[in-house]
Amino acid sequence: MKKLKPGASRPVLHRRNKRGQLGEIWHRIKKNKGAVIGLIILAILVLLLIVSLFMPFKLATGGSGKIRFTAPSWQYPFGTDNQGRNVFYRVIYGTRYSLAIGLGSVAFGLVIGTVAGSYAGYYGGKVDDIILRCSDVLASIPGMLLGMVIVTVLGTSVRNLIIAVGVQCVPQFLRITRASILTIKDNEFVEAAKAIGFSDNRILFTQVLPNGLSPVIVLISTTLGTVIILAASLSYLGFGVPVPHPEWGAMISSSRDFIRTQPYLITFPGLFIMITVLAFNLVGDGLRDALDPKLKR
Amino acid sequence: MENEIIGSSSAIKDDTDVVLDIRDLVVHYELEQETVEAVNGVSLRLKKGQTLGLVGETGAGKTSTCLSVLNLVQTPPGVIKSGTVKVCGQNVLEMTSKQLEKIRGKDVSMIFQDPMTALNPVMTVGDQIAESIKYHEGLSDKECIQKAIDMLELVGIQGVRSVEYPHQFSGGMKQRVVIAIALACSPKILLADEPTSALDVTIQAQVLDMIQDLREKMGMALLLVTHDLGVVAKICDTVAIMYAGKIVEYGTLEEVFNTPKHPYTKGLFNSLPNIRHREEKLKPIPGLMPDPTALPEGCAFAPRCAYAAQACGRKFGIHSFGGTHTALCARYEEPDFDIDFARGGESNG
Amino acid sequence: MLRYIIRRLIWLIPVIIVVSLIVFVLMELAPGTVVDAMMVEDMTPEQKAELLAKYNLDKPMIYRYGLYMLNLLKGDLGTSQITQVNVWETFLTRLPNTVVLAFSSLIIGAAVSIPLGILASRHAGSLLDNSVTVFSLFGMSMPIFWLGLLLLLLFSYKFGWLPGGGTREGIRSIILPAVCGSLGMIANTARQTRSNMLEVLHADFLRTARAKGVPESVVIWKHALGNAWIPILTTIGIGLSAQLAGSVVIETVFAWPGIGRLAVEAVTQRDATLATGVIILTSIMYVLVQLVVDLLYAFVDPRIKAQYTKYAKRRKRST
Repeated sequence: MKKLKPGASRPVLHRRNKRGQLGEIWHRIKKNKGAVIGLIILAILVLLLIVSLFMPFKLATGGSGKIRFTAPSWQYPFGTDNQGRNVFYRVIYGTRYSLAIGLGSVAFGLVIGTVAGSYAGYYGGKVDDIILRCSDVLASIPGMLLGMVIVTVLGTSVRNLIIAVGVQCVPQFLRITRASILTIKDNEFVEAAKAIGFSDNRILFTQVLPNGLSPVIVLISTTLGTVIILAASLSYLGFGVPVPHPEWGAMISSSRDFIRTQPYLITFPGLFIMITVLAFNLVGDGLRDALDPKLKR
Repeated sequence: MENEIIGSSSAIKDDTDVVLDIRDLVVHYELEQETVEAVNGVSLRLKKGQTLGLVGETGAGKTSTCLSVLNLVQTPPGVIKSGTVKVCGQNVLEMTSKQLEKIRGKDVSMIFQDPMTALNPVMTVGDQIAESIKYHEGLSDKECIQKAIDMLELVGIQGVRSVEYPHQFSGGMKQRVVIAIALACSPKILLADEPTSALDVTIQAQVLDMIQDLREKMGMALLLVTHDLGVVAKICDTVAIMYAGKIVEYGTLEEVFNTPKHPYTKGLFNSLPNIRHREEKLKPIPGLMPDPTALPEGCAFAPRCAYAAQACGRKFGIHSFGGTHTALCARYEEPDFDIDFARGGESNG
Repeated sequence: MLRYIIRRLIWLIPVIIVVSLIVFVLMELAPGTVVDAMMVEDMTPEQKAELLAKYNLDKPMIYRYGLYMLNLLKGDLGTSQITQVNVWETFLTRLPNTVVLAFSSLIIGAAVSIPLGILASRHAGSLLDNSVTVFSLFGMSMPIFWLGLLLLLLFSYKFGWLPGGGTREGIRSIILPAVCGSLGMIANTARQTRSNMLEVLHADFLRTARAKGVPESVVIWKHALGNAWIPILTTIGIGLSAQLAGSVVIETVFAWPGIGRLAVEAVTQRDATLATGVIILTSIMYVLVQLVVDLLYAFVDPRIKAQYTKYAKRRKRST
């Protein structure tokens, strides 16, 4: 500890924040070890995704009866399944489903939920009532059941799975956005915008909403995890993507009968689901801590 | 008041009436990157029935001093580095948890600054008062509640409200409940840490009157922490001025208020707007309190002091002015230095 | 208070209507009907027509829906198109299995996660705390069906200690599914408990309690936990809802004869009546559970209780 001469004093000043808001958030995220690990995993997954995009479909679905049920080895890192397909290729190919369904569903829920929630929070009164009630009714139906029914109607495909799962994300985004808007809309800058003559839509989407986005951002990341598990669960029950597609949940489902003799068939796809969701949860946690205004340095 | 010199380790003749005896207390808060030197060698004594006003700005170390009396300094990161704190003759810093639990609330009580958060939201106020009684007086539950109701009445709240919850009371009333809790077991020492700072002025007066009233009734010693000199003038008989973790001036109310000797004390009084001498500008003390993680060697006030000299950079002792009046200022080691006559800026080697 | 409850219950009616509409319409729109499996190649056109008429499939959908709603008003959920058993009865027979499993998971989950969360909060930053956090993160990231399969793999197939599903072996049958269901809850609730306790542990009123001379154990267990368990209760309530929602998956993996599996079977077999009935009833249960949790919350937190009781109204008038 430094001792100072009389005449010198070090008053307590706040260190000026040279980083700016975004920089501060990034800095906090970097400090969070979990979030960093999450980001690394996500980066790897994106890499796998890119690889999978160049993979021909045949590679993941074509199998030879001669090499059925081979255990994991150097040649077949994850083994081969009951149809002689290389599980390693299938798992990598499967990245695209999980990520696509994850991002698609969340985007679906985000867009609809945020817009509806914004209107509900901003206008209040009857509009709020109606929108909120609709959302409540939607949320009353247990997720899996609703998903099952929607896929039954629309048929099994990636797009339909996105709709089935996305629909369920709407109520959460709606509530969070609405709550955020409610706390912001009474600020004076909103009054000022109204006084200038901005249209309601303009005020809502350029002034109010941008200020209330932090909880929404955190929700995005945590929902991504939940959605991927939900989609995989639906696939497992047979309400996901159609059969030859190597979606991770579907892969586990089709290997269920062989679990005693070939346990590796369910291990790897499941592991990938877990790691993907873990990555999103870690990043989500990091974001939540980084965006929390109450957290002091 | 006896002839005493604070800070000296000479034997004290009559200490039967001394209920609180703090000697050379040093409290640090050891954080990750730095250490806050909150209390740097504080010595205080309180006798039965005495009211001591502990005055200082925010960050001077007053709350930490009070917490030390209950040995409630938050242990990571706080550390009591040295010193003794004797409550009724026993050093609380060496007590076991069980012993501490016995004296807290019973021999020593504390009132905290913010009444809004000091009460448990899911317990009735009656229960919270009764809890203190239960652990110290060994009465039956029914008797404890009855006594709690009596305490509420004592602080001016209707007894029937003992079944209500804290959120049903206003700030001023909450603070009265806190006082009721603190006084429920008739403690010998009451530590009041800025009990009225969070309240508005009219309520302030009421609460202070009540504290004074109760103190007289119970013969308690009161250590009142405050930054408000007006409050001190109203109810204290002794004053200690604290700066950067040290007591820089001590004496009776008259001694310190009529003839302040330490430059900081003088600065404090000068900065008060005086209704009789209306001026154009206020006279604040220039500069800011030093960073408690980087205190200078020697006098911590020197950088802001109009009377600073070379001697202020070194260690020095307390100077006594006769009676109980003492001050911690290096300039007084010079034989003819007197703050009332010295001009600011003069230095004598 | 009563008015609030009634208001919430009344809200169930539109829920029922909308859910029934959605499910019924969707089931109708789904390709394939219940009779498809019954139609045999060599049926005469008359027999086929007869079959269709039996299920009212010769009439427009509105007719069927109207008939269904009419019966619903009478409290009649109809009979399963396939098993010909009354829907309500079928539901009631299977419901206890789901309830038993859900509560078992809940109890195990709460019994493990709450003490774990409290411990973690008291030793924040320690190895124990970090382990709990890591464990929670992994637990939250695992798909339940995968976890179930792994448990089966390990404890049933490899070690042979526990049955591989079904309810034949009494209490031994419930161990694996209950543990599986509880793990997700443990992960979530442990973290929530930890964070709720941490918030409370820094509260000022704990300092007041200590200054009173209250023993440390009482400060933690009575004062701190007394405040923290309120949000923890909500988490448990959410856990119960989640158990209900997750019953579909667990019951399928462990061949547990509950309503979750019933729903899957009904939908897969295009049994519109059964499916609609089961989903409506499950949704009602879902809503009721949430209502009970909300009420419980209001009950235990005196601040919220005050908003709903007469006493509060009286005080409001006097101030």
